[in-house]
Amino acid sequence: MFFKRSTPAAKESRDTPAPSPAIASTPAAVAASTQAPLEVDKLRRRVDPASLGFGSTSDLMPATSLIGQDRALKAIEFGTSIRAFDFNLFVLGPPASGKSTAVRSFLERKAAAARAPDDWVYVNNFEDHNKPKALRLPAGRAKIFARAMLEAIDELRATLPAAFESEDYQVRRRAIDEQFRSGQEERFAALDRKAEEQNIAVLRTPMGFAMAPVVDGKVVKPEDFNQLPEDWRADVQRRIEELQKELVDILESAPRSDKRRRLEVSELNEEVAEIAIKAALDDVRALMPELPAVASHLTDTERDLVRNVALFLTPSGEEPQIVRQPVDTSRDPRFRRYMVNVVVAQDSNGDGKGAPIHSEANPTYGNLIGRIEHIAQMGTLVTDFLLIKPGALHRSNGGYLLVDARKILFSPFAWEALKRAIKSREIRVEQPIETLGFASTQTLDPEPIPLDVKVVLFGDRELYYLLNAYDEDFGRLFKVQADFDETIARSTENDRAYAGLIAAIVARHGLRPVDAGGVARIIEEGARLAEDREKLSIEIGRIADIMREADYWAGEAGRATTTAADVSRAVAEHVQRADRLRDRSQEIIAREIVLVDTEGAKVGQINGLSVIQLGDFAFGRPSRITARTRLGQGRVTDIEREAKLGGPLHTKGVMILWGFLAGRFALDIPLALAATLVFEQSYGGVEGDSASSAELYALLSALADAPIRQDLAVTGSVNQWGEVQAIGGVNEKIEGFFDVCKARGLTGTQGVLIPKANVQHLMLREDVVEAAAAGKFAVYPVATIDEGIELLTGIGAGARAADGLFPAGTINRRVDDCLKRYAEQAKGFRGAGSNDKDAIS
Amino acid sequence: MITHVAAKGEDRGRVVVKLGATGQPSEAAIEAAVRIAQAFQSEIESLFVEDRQLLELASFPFAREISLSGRSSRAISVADIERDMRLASRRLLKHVEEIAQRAEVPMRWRVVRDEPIAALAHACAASGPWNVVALGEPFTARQARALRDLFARVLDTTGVVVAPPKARRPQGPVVVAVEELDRLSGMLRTAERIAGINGGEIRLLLVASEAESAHWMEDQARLLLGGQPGVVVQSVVAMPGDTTAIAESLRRLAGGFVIAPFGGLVVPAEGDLGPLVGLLECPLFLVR
Repeated sequence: MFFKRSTPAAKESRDTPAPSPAIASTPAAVAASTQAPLEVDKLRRRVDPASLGFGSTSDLMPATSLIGQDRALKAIEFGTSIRAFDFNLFVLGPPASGKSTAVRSFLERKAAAARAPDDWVYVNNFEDHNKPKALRLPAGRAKIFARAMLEAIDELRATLPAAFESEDYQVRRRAIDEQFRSGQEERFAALDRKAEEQNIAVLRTPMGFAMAPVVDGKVVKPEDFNQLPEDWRADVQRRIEELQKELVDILESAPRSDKRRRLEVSELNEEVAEIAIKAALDDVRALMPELPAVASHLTDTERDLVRNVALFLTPSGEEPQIVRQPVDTSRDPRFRRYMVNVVVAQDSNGDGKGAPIHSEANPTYGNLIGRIEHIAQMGTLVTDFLLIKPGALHRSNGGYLLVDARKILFSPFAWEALKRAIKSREIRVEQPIETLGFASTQTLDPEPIPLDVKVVLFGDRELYYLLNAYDEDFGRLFKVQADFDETIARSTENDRAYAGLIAAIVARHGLRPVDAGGVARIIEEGARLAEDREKLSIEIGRIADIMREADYWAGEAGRATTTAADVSRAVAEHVQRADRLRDRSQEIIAREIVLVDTEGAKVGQINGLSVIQLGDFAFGRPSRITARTRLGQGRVTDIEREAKLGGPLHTKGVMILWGFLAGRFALDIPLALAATLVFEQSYGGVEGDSASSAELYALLSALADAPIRQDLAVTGSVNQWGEVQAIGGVNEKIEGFFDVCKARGLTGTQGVLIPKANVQHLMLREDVVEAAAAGKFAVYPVATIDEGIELLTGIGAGARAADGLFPAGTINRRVDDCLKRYAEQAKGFRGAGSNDKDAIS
Repeated sequence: MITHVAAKGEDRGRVVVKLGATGQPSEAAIEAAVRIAQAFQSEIESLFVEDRQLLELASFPFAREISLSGRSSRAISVADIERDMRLASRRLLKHVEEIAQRAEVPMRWRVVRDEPIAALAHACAASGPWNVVALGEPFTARQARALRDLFARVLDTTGVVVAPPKARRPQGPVVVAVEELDRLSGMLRTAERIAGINGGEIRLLLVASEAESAHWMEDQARLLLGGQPGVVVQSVVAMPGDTTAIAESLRRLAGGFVIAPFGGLVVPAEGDLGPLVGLLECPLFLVR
């Protein structure tokens, strides 16, 4: 068993001169229908500056809102108006689309009309210092309250010592001391006298008291005592024992007396302190009499001040020794417990700024929820309620919090903390380590603050759908999606609105006015960025970048107004800064390191087109695609796939073209074909199906042995019916082949075949359009493979006639014949050809 | 000693710090003793007196000691008392030594077994006559008789330092309580030397039993103090035996050290020292 192979001579014969677009050498019956290139005006949609109706942006009112984003704006309006904690917003759209600015601008108008939220402060909890209390105060009152408390304590630092040094206090205090002292001493003195009368002395020993008989004030010597009669001695001993009992009574009563004394002194202290403290705190009460929570706190404070009045009567350990000046009250650790930690405060003038809008640029856990800071004291970390620091949720409470979704997801614990806060509708400040249950040091458990905030997350669509898919809380808490379009439809009205947007950018960035020509050029660039002649990109960031750059070049040129030339230069300079790789790519083609033919015709070889994306710059590049066929078992070998360089979409495209072959040809015979397809000199991955039509053309060429024009390049995907379908990056692809041709010299026959559906996307570079207008380059829209193969080979494709055969000499007939020949040959080989097997390897 | 030494401009003398059986030192009294020693370039002699009467008391078979709180009592023997006194003496002497060393005042010490006043009399007589006695334990009104005995029997001393229970360390003005004008200059010189150590000012309290005398004394004192305008002068009228008004005046002057004569209106030899002892918050240097 052997395969019949084509001879080298036959192989060489595939190199032939390029046929003209309408190949004259083919028989009339198989000649291709004439396919006209696209008209020049289809290659780029221009804007007539005169149609805009203004001289420059100075004549325009800057747009105050986004254009063409009605859906998103309605969603924002709804999301921010509905009073429900779980109707938060996710604003999705491409980066730099101006969605953040737009949302903020929208919210500013809405927030300005809203009521300013209440102030919040943390104060000490005198019952449990570890659980600071949160107090709600009307807007603008927190700072007043804090200042009033500071002033009250300041006042007490002066008035309390004065009260306790007053004559009144001293006299009463001495009376109490004297009463106690004299009471004790009198009892001692009475005991002394009684003992003395009985010739007994009370003596002080190192450890206490002892009693002994005395004569003339001196202790009787034991030997003298023993000379006394027995009953005398017994009587002395009895009297001593009685006196000892009395002494014990006196001594034991001392602590009780002292306790009474302390109690009396304490009552006196409280009485004196209360007067001064009440006077000081009454000033604070008078500031906000209508607030029961504040009144309650002041009552607690008053009680604590009275209990700890000694704090005010002793100098601070921090007072400087050289200059005896009291430490500032707010810094004196003794008085921290009476201070007020202002967590959220509106302006104290009371006019209010409306609801807050807070953008958190760095949404870490601490920045979002707030944090409890610590200070090092004697080698340990300590904290108190004054070290509770507010987070973005505190600042935005009662208003709107704007956060970048990606940033919050990248911040450890932050996302979960945000969801927890929204769900529980309260801000609970705790250390992240506590939330995991790993806290090992004593810290605070501040009273949570009720949360009423509308959270607006910003992110791209992919992130939105990922969160929806993988985070069950997300859908429940972010029920409103505001989906920002990347583009708006082009119309005369929208062109003018776009001009208003340009005027707004001019105003915001303080740029030179842009004349009508410049605006027209920007609009055209907007369409190019949208990759659609019927759309305009509203990628505000990118448009603004172009305008600022154009403004710079206008300045360099000494112009007071930015013109179309400046915009063109800005675009060109931007490309020039980024196109090193494009130049390199063009160079290696020009030097024939990468082989790309731009003239002649070859069998089984075609110019495909691909796009390389580098940041915000993309460029097209032609690649040679080749196909070879022979007798086989019905397989098309996608070499890219075999080499693991082809992506799934590319593989899919190849499978589809096999489906096309199997469906159109060899309907009643086995497809005894073996074919290989390859992107020549491709050293990286190949993805996408935009080359599938080119691969099919190459395969058909190989089967039909019909040479393909090398002065044409092809892009477009294909379906099983042979219809050519739209692809992306059509402008860059055409320009990529144009650049190669231009570098070698435009011949007038060169051009690109694009899917007909892509005509609406054409916004080609000016130089390409100019070449086309001069008849030096052409763009051919094709709807089917048949149209394409006719253009490429100059041979008619041929339609299957009633007899089931394609007309003789047509491409399709030649392919059919070839496949039949393979099938005949395969009969001699067992197991050859099967449509049921995996067609692609 | 002090007034004499001060009057003569002599730099000698000795401060005898008497420590005893209570075992409770008065920081204020010891500090005051050290200040006086510093002021007059004197030395400290710590004298721990093992009260012989306590040993005799302990010899009785029925001798019992009642604790300071009154909650316990125990039978005591001579050995117990000797041991307790030995421990107390070591502790107290070490304590005084540390304070003296800090002040760079020379110190020597002795432990004697005797009756306390007699022990002091012997100690002062041994290197008299210019001794100051400092009672190193808190002074209470109950010890008024002992103070009188001390002045009566310890002849080789010019003054006694006592510290009431509320006395703090001697810092602040030196208050001189004067009852006789002819002693003013001598007492002032003493005060100046102590104030030089204390870094404080001098305040003068003139004490008389009649208002007229008080005014006259005040006028005279101001004349005498013409060259010392910084001295605060006050006067007080007090009935003999009633120390309350004087005590109150001394308190108001907020002295860190009070120098007063013993046996007069300020500190009567007979009478209740309770108000004075109860109110004063500084050591009291009593001079003859």
